[in-house]
Amino acid sequence: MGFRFNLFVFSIAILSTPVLSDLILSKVDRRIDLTSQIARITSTLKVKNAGNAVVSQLLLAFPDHQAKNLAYLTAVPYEGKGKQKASTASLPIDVVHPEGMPPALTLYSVSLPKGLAQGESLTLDVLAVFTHSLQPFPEQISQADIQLVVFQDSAYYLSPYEVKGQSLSVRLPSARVESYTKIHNTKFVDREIKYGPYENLPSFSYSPIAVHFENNEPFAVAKQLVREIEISHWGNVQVVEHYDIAHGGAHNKGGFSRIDYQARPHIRGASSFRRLIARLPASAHSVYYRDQIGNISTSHLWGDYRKTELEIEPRYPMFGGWRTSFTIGYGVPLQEFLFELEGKRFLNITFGCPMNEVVVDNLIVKARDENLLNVDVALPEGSRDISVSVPFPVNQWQEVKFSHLDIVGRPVVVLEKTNVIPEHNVHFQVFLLPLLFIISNDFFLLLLEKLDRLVWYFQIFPQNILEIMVGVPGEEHSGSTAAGLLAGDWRGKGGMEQTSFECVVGWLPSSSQPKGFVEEGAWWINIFGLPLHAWCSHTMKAIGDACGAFIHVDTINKARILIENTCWQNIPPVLLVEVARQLFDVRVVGRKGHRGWCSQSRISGFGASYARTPSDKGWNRSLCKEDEVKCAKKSPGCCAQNNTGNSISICRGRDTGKKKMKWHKLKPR
Amino acid sequence: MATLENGKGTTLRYAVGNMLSIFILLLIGVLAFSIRLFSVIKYESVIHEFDPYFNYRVTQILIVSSAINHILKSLNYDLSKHYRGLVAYLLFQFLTKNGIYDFWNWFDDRTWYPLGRVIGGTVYPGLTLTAGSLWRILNSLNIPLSVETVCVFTAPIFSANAAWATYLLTKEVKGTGAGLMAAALLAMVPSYISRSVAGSYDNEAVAIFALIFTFYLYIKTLNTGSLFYATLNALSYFYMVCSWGGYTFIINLIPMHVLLCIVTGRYSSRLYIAYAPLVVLGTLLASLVPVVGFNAVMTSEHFASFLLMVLHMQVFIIIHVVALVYYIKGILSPKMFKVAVTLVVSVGMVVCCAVIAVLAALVASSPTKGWSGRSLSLLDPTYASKYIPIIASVSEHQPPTWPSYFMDINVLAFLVPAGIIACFLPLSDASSFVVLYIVTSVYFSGVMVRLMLVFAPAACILSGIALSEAFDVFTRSIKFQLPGVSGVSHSGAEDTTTGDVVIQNDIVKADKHSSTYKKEDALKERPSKKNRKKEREHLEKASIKTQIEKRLLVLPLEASVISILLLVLLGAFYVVHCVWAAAEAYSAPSIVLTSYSHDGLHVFDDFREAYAWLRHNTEVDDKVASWWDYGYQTTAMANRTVIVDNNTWNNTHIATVGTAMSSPEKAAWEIFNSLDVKYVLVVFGGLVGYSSDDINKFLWMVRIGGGVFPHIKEPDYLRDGQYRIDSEATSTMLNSLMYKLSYYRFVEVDGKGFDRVRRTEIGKKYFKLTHFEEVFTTHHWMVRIYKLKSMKNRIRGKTKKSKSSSKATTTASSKRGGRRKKNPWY
Repeated sequence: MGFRFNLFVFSIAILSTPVLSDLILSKVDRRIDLTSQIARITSTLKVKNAGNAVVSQLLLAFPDHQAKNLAYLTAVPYEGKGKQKASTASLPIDVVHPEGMPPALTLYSVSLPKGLAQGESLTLDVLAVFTHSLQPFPEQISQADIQLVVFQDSAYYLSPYEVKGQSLSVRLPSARVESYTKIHNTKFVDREIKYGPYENLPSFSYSPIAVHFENNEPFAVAKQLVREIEISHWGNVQVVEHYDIAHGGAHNKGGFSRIDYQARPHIRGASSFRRLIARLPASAHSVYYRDQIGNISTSHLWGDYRKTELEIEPRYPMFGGWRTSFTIGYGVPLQEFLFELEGKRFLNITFGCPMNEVVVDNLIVKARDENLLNVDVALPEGSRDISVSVPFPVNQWQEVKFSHLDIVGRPVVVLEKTNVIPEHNVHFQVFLLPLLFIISNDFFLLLLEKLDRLVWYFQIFPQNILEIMVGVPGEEHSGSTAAGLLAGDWRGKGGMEQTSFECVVGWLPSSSQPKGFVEEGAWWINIFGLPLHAWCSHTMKAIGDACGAFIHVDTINKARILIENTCWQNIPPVLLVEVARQLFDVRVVGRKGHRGWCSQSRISGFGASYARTPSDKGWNRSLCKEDEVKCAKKSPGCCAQNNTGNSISICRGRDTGKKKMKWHKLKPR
Repeated sequence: MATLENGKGTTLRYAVGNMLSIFILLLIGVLAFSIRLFSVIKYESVIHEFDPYFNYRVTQILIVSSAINHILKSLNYDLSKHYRGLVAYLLFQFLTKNGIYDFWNWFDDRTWYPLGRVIGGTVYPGLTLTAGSLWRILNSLNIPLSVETVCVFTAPIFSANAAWATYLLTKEVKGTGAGLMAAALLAMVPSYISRSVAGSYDNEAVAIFALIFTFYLYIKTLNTGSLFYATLNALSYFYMVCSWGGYTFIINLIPMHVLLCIVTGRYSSRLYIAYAPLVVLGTLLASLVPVVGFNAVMTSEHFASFLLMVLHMQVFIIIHVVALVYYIKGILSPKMFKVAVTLVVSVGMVVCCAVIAVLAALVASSPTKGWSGRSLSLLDPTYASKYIPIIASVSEHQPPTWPSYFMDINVLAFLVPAGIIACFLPLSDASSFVVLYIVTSVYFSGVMVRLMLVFAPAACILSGIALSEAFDVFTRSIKFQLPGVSGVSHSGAEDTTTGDVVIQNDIVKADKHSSTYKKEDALKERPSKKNRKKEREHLEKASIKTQIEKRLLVLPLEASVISILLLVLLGAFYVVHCVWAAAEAYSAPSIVLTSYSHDGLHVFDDFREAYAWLRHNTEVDDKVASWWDYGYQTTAMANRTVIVDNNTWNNTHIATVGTAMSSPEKAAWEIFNSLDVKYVLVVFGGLVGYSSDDINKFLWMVRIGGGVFPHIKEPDYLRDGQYRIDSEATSTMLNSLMYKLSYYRFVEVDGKGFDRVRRTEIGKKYFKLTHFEEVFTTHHWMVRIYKLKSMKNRIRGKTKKSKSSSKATTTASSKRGGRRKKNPWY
């Protein structure tokens, strides 16, 4: 093959370096998904401890030229087909530089959930996502050409450990392949290239392979994406996203002929893309799409109660190397994104780009509270308190922005991250200082501020209507979720190991919620107050059945269950859930379409319990199964127990105070 | 007792009337603003057309480039940190002129490549400074509006101001009622709307306000004789000079009026105060504006008539002579006065003759007699089409058609004569000014359709006067004839009409009574000292006379009612027409085109598509050549350097581009290459039927190009005097670059190459481009962008081309042998 490979040269001598630990990978199953511009490598590793010592860390190795494009890396303990993978949190991963490792390798250390004793084995799912790893070749194509790309990797799993048995499959977007490296045991079947199985390979085995294939998927790369999130306590969150998009594929040469494109757009423009789809929150409103020189008229917006989809077309079809920039903006109601906890409010909103196909080279998120004072100026006591919780490392700093009629400006939290992929589109939290502090500390300073803020305060503050339990983060990194972070805070204050969930009050600027709102059909219900260890689709289904007929669980946001019910009044506001002999009150909040409603009664009980057990890496949550748990305000005893020990039973009641309960036993699966 | 009560009643009525008129004025302002928002509602908040894009860009530069702004911003922060000095800060910011100096010295290298353009010295800064300071005020108050938003809404804001200025002006002339009526008419006159819809960020938007306000202050000074107003007048004139080249209209009209007053024996010290400070201060201030500079005194555009010399100089001298005469007359005995007159006149004549001789020599020495092309075409409407094709090629410099009068001022055209008549009843200084204003502006609007804009306010003022007078007469006659009211009407007669309107109207009525005499008087234009004495007399007698006269002026009841209904109907027509014009005719931003077809609305956003493509996908220093119409838009929207733009200051440069467009491909390539051009942009409407495309403008390119480069001859492009692009067209035409770039591969769309604008099949269908390559064509083919092939390619391509083209021609000819005979260029 005539093309240039950036081959990664390895010296054989390296292979003789001493192995770090006595771990063996007894089985490695790798699947490389190349169907988009992003390369997703999922490896299922079966790790076995062949040595004597207890091992708590596992090393993952990537060559440097891959590691620099590494956008996302998770390792999740694999619990077999039957159980839900999502119920377990992923393991903490760090970059390490151990001695005696070959050069040009980047090593990541995975902290195993518990030490691996001699002879024990563990299965891990490792997902590594790479951007910009599909090199267009040839680098310049004309309008009519198809786009060919090269992907390079190793046929053998590169690992510091000995690998007993392994296989690799590469999934391609189409059956058309220019060439691929053939070594022994190579098969090409129906858009999939299979390598292996190979057995008993020493550590650091490396056998370069290259796949040269057709990929006409949109290579949309956002060179820069700036997301501005502005919170207005009048009831709106305004999101503005500035895109600077380029086509990251093979560059277009020889001009662009409209007549060719119009006559046969799929042939004479195969590598181009016309449109992008942004998935916005279901309640998004006032959506706009424009650029520096005005509105762009080529867009479509549609939505249902689940999502709003904005299909945008840039002003011109995007060919290789072409760039464009535009801005989309929308507003969402505040109560879906702002919550209150312990006198602090926090914003809980997605981090990444709402477009599934877009790779973002540089993402800047600016969260801003429109009504927040610059605490620095207004409160010299130093009660400034803006903190951010993001489930992955980001650059972070603060700015001051002057908005409408400001005198001192508003603080802006800026988060920056490079190499962002759709997997990063998870929720993050910004904790803000509520107005209460300011007022109690220095009322007169506030008088200098806008009068409307005062009015707003007196109107709104007594009416904390929607009450929600924290419990949203379920599948994010441990130690960085809201719950974990809060737990750490309380521990620091109280000096206690034991912490508990607290009541979180959703922020609702007006009390004008429709009360007698009767409508049949499908409902989204949000679940608050369910302890994290009970998060699984099994529980969700049980809860859904208790409220109506279970239809579906939102896999992204586990707090949402779609149920079928005749009337919202049939949905209980509170459910009693028993998990492992403990009772939990679970708040149920229903929502239909874009219009939210909520039940009016307040939460009365809570009781999950977490203790922090120091592990070698960060904090891990583990469930306290013993007697520290005290269920507040409630006598346990009316719940049946399953023989699994992790039983879940759900009690349905209008209000826990009335003790009018009806039991729904779970059907064993 | 009765009179006392009556007095109380009238004061109350005054108050109520004032409140009411303030409220009405507010509503008029809201109306003026909101009727111009159709463009934002129907389309979007975007800058319109061509020139506004330049102004927008200048405003951006004005705001962005001044580095001091950043310092000020931080200063703002520091100041406000301590909760004080916000006002001081604002003052400071306005006193700091650094931003303005940057602006004066700004040399724009993005346009007129390779010449560039000194923006500060060639632009009227009024509009950009206005919008810039508006933006600064808003931003210093931390209202973060974008520059674009401020620019878009500047015009509607200033049309509300213009409506209020009209009220003030008309009130000075004929009282509150007429003022309100005129303001309401002006708020929605289509002619003004056409230049001031939201997004139409052009000089006129601000200048019309300045024009009317200057006239108001002049009249106010004339009526009061206050030096304060005279100073304000000079400042307002300065603002007008900053804003628009139309200031010459003011500086010619006012001396003409002064002269008229002197000739008709209406000289007074008030006239002197109204005129002299304006000329001295105004001219001094005007020469501070770089674009005007010494033009303010040097050019003949400031002449008002041929009979006199530099008019304001002349009138200035005359008015001083007259003032002196009156003064001397006051202090000397009649006999001495006569002697003095003869002395002064003889000396004055000598001086005048000398000055005339000098100035005439100066003027005659310049080739155009000191007149610029546009002004000359004002005096001789055929001048531009004869000598300056570049002025004639602009549609807004053409004389208007009759329908455009109806379109632009609608029913006002019928009301204006009535208004003129009303102004003669009686003829005051103020009303004579209005009459003079309308007469001159009618003439100018007849020469150049663009100047309809100057005519519209005059039409509104006079129509307002006419309507107000008519309503006055009719309502009064109804009141006097209604049974039951008549008993009260004795006491209530004065109350019905309020304040000075009463007096004014009474005068009018009184004068109407003796109108035959008056008209005669006006027609003869006799020195009307008598006239004014009469006025005063009437004023004194008014209260006594009113009752009797009012009874005499009463019209039949039915006639009055019907007339009022008809007038209301007329007004309703006007409103309907204006709203229609604002919504349908004048709101389109012209960069976005829409069309309705059976399957709904189609949007043609091709211009912005092309500009966005240029902005993002070409190098920042690439030069783009296009016809000058698209220059401003390319610099503002695509941010690329252009060769020529809408500021047509250099005819030769434009002619070069015109020549390139008219030349065959190779010659054009050489011209463009010598200008460092990388991309050529043409606008082509043949696919969708967009009629103002480059092929339709092509003859102007030929004419302008031919005006400088004689080898381009217009007849070469015409077949028997007809401009055509079908198979009958000349070979020069079919081989010109413009033809080739427009129709490149056009035939492949439908197989025939049917041009929907020219409604014909194109002449030359299959051809290849040798020196240019197509790099982008928009969705509806409205903008096509070609890249100049580089030199190396050209040579290689040429050798190859000679073979391939011969091959192509042979194959083509073998294919279409029959056609070959028809087509003469083979």
